[in-house]
Amino acid sequence: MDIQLFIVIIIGIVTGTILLRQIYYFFFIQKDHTRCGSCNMCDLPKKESSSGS
Amino acid sequence: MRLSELQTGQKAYIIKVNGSGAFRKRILEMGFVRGEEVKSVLNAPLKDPIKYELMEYEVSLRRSEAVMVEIAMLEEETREKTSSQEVVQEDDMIEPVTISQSNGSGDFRTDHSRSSQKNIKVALLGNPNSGKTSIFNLASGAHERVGNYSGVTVNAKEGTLKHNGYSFTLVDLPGTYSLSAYTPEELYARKYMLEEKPDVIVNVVSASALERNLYLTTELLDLQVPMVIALNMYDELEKSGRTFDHETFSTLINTPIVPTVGKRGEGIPQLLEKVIAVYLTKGREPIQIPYGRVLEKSISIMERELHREVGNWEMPLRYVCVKLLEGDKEVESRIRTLPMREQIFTRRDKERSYIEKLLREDPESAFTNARYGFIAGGLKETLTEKIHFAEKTKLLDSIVTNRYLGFPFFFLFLWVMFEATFRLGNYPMEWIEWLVATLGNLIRENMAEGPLKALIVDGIVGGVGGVIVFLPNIVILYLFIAFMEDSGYMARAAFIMDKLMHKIGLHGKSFIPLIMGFGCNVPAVMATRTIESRSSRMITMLIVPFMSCSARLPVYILFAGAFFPERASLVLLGLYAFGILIAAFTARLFRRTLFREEETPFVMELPPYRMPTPKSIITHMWDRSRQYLQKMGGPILVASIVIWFLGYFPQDWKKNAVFEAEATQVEARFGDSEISRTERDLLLADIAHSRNTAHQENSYIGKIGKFIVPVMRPLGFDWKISVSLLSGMAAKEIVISTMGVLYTGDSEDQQSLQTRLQAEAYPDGSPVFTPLVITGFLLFVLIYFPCIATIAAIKEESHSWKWALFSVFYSTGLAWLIALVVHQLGRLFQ
Repeated sequence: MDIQLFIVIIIGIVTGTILLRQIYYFFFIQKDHTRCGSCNMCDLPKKESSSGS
Repeated sequence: MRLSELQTGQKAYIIKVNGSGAFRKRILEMGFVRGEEVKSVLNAPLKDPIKYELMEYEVSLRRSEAVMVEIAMLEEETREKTSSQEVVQEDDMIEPVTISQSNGSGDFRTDHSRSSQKNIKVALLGNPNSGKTSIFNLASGAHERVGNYSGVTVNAKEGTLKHNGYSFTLVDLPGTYSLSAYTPEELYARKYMLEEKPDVIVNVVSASALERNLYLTTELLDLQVPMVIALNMYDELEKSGRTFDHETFSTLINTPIVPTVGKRGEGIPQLLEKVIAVYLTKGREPIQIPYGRVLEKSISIMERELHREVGNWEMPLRYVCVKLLEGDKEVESRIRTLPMREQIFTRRDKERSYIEKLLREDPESAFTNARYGFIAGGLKETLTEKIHFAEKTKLLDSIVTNRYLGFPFFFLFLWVMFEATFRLGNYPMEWIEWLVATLGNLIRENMAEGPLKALIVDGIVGGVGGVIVFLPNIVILYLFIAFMEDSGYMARAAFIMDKLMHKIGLHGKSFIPLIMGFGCNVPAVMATRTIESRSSRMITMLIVPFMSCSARLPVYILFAGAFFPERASLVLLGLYAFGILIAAFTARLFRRTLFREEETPFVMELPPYRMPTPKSIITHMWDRSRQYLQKMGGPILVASIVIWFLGYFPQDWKKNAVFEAEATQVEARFGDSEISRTERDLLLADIAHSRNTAHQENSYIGKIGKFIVPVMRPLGFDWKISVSLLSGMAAKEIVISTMGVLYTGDSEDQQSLQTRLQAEAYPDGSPVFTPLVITGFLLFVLIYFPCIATIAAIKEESHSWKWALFSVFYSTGLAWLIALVVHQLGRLFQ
């Protein structure tokens, strides 16, 4: 096989792996909520106003 | 009399703050308490909001909010009389704090069990703009963003350092005026303090507005946390000619105080020493803020009521009682989970009525007044009067917030920013362009033909090289943004824009994330955390993507430079202005349809002007350059390679052979002298162009382009433009790198992308890029799909995919509609 084509295929596989990994991380790995840590306090004023208190 | 009636330059004394809820609590905490002197400094250019001075700092309020504050204009003599009466009242209310009450900052009993543990978790907490991040950066060697306005830090950042054999984990928390917080980042700071339980808290107190900054300290004292006070910006206090006996004050509150100058790193080693000392201290005797007879009685009743119920809570019982009496929402919601809740709330309400009846003010005001009373008492003994008054801020404000000069100055600043970004950036841009072209030609001339050569030359050099040339422009843009943030002008811009923002249903505070959006939309979306109201926060978050970020700048510069070289700056300014208009339209639309809640008041601190240090500016620019280059090596490189692959494959070997045969035929005809050299060159160029076109159209990317082109054709875009826009969804710079790969040109030499775009034509010879197409294209790039990182940030901040997807569809739909209108209307006038 042409050496250039061989290198290009290797680069293609590496790039494809990186891309798929990024897509997987973006959609399927839950990010750490640096600010809230599952805190929902910022929704509190909204809930209060909707409950009319 | 109301505060809004106070004329510019006049002084008065606060009697009472009316109203209820977050606004009232916030301004009470910011020092609008009974007996405090307030001065009306100036009006914004549109007469609203108004800048007031109190407790030696400046704050802006709208007229509609200033109406809520009752004031009295008093003669000096009357004032003296009244204040002496108030002192009697205060004395009656607050038991004097005697130095013997506490054992001072130096008396620590060493906790030997801790001597062996050498990791100390330190949280930096303080008022917004008190210089926490400067201390954090200096101590930990980090490069976190600092700025001269409130709310630069919107989440916790961690850094580590070693000192005297101890390793420190520093956590830089968002600024907060108090622990009864209302904004998300303030709530976060409080939650962090209570749940993460750092070993030591460094309470950063700005020496330039000591009285107001110490309010948070009183709350931390109530919370009985191990604490060291960093008296930051101490140089500003010294410059004003004042002296502060911080040692006596330290003894008074039984907490060590270390003067620091964060920007120069002065006092940091001493601060770390004190942190170690406090860490090793066992059972520091806590002092209690004396709230006066009436409040103390209610606190002790509530303590008796609650001591069995909340004994295992992570906060002291006294603190819970104070917060419950104040009506703190979070404490109330926790109490509601207790079995004895009915009884507790009945008792609490009874005590609140008792306080209101006896003190003739609500418990919130009573506690705030008592805390400020305690601070005033302590400072009276330790802080001398100001001798030198800084006129710099007043002088500059008289120009940049002037009724007639404010707006022209702001727009002049923006114009200079874009002019410098384009004109100045053009010189280094040309050098980098030359370097990229030289590199491309070097590879072209010295490498054997084949797919790897094509990947390097057309994919990597063409794609990444096409984007990297804009690095100087990005650096210059950030220079201006850093100057705006560090000098204090950012807060003034918000101040003068408030009235206009008010008209679109937002307030001046929303203007700061919007300006930040010119740099990058991601931190801008995160900066919306400083906005108290959820509806205003959501609207701001959704309009931030219309602020032209620096990733879009390369696209503008490329096209403006190639097709409108004489009016490039004007084109840039026009695009930014159009983005602002779209944002304003969207905000108004959303306020009327999706978010009809009442907007929040505009209470914003106006920091004094500070000359940005060269180090801070250079650090900012360097960080941005590094990020940009990292992007080149990461997503842009990956995208360029992917686009190249999609464009290079599949190879039609049969068609290639036909084109090669045609080229050989031409060479043979030239060899037989049937055609001249010029004719040969023309024929070969024609064959190369046909081959390129046929290959690209049959490639995978060509097929994708052909698939989406029916949607984009009404906008005047061909399939290559359509594909570039599609790939630009990942990051806007990829529009350029994709064009760099797709518009390879037929020349044997490496040409700049600008030249290749100018030469691009349809088979009939008509240019692809007409002024009308370019206008529609630039507007489309401005408005459509925010990049993936921004979508992720919107999802994180809104806690919902719904709003992230809404932003995607709304912006892309609007972009399509506007580009369609521009193209179709433009054609009528052609």
